[in-house]
Amino acid sequence: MTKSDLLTLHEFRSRHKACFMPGTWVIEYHDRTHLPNDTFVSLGIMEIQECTPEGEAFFWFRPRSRKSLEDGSKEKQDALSLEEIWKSEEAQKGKKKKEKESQSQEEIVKAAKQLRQRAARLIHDQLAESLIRLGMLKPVFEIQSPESLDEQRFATIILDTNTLRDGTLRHLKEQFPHLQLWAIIPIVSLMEIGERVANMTSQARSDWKSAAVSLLRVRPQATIIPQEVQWIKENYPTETLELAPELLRAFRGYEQGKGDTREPDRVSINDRLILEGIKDLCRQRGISKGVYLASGDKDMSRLASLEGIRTIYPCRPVLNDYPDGIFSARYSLKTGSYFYCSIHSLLWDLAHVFSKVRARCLDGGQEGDRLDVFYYYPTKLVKAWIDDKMEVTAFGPGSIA
Amino acid sequence: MIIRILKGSTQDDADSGEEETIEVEAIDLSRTTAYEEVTKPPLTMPAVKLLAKNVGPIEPFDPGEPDSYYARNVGVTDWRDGIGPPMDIPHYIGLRVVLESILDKYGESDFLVKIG
Repeated sequence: MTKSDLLTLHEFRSRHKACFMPGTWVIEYHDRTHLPNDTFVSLGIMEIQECTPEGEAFFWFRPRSRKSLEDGSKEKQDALSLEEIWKSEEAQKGKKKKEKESQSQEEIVKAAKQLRQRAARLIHDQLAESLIRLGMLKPVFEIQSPESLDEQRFATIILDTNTLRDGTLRHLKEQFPHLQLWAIIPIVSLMEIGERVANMTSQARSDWKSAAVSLLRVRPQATIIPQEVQWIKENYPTETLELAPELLRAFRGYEQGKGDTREPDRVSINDRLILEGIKDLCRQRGISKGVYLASGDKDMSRLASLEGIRTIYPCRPVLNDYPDGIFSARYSLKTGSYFYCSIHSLLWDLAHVFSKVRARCLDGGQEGDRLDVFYYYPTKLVKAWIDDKMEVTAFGPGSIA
Repeated sequence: MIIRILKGSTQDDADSGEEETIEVEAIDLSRTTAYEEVTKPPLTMPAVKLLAKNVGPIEPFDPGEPDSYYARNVGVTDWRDGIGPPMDIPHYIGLRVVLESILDKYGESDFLVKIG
């Protein structure tokens, strides 16, 4: 039996409340930009331990290793590796290249291997970022400031694009619950989102190719950040860090350079615009204490610190540090409360990054049960983008909510 | 349930004072297999690590018997939504995540942990 619905996260949670039974589930993804039709790549295993009477489940998530993603080593038989999936494309590409550029077979194999390694690393990074966003992992904050955040009552936080992606403000609030936060979002970050959306749309129209795996890195910028900005606006006093028009002209987009013209200092120019915006803000308002730049970019943090701007750098945990997996609940010593991530939230967030995510039951008497969450479903209208609706399809005997 | 984080790596050191006291509502130690061990003198960090890994229900867990096995109506924050209805957390899961957060903060240092 199959059932498809267009749902918000809240509707997904209420309608498919008790469909995840204890047992082992595999989480897979399909992305039409870099995978052939109907091909799913495993992201990891979810061990559901217990379900409460309300149907909420506690689970361990064990991400697939990078090595296994790349070449399938030491993995369950049904988990395809990028090597297997891209084999036919690599062979085809190799043949053409060989004819055109007389490249040696070794060089072609080496290039293909490098791409697979990069892709596996990218997928792992995106998984870690997703788990941070979901609160299952937490960053360690490195704060460069003469005064401690523990002693402050108020803080103005300027969030750069990276920290908007990984939900830094939520983690700051958890680790410094006494702080009254004022959020500032740089106009440059918002312009970058617009740029990303346009760039991704044009790339997504072409046929699948393995190199398009790099889209995974930029996709959260187009899918997650708008939702995050909305959430920040609803929960904190928020303003935009504007720039003088003459500075804004220096903004660099993501267009590829033509011929020999490269896009040289795009990142550093945009970072510079944010730093100048912060200095302007401090000058205009006569403040410096309590104004922090939250940036996930090490170089930018270092540079800002040199220029006298207080910085907060969220140091990300590495998935390899969690060989036993990551548990869905956490206890915060700071707030004295439990935090919890539902399976629904996990699938929802992964679908924002990986386009289509599938949870498939491997045992527990529910063999054949599976559930797909699809972000880019074909008939998605503007309202559905704004409401963050996705297509949820349930298969199998236990699929009825 | 009260957990005390004690300064020092020996019982004598630990008598010198507490670092932190954590009060956790709704965890009943008598419903976890850790019960016997945690009533003994303070645990070292490696022992806390082992306990966090192995803590489980004292009897096979039965979701159909919520009054016997659950910490009822514990306020839980859903990270994504920020709100959360009170949930029923099994005692051993509650204890385990608390121990993990202690390890997260004190795991690398010489501290003792007293649970009771």
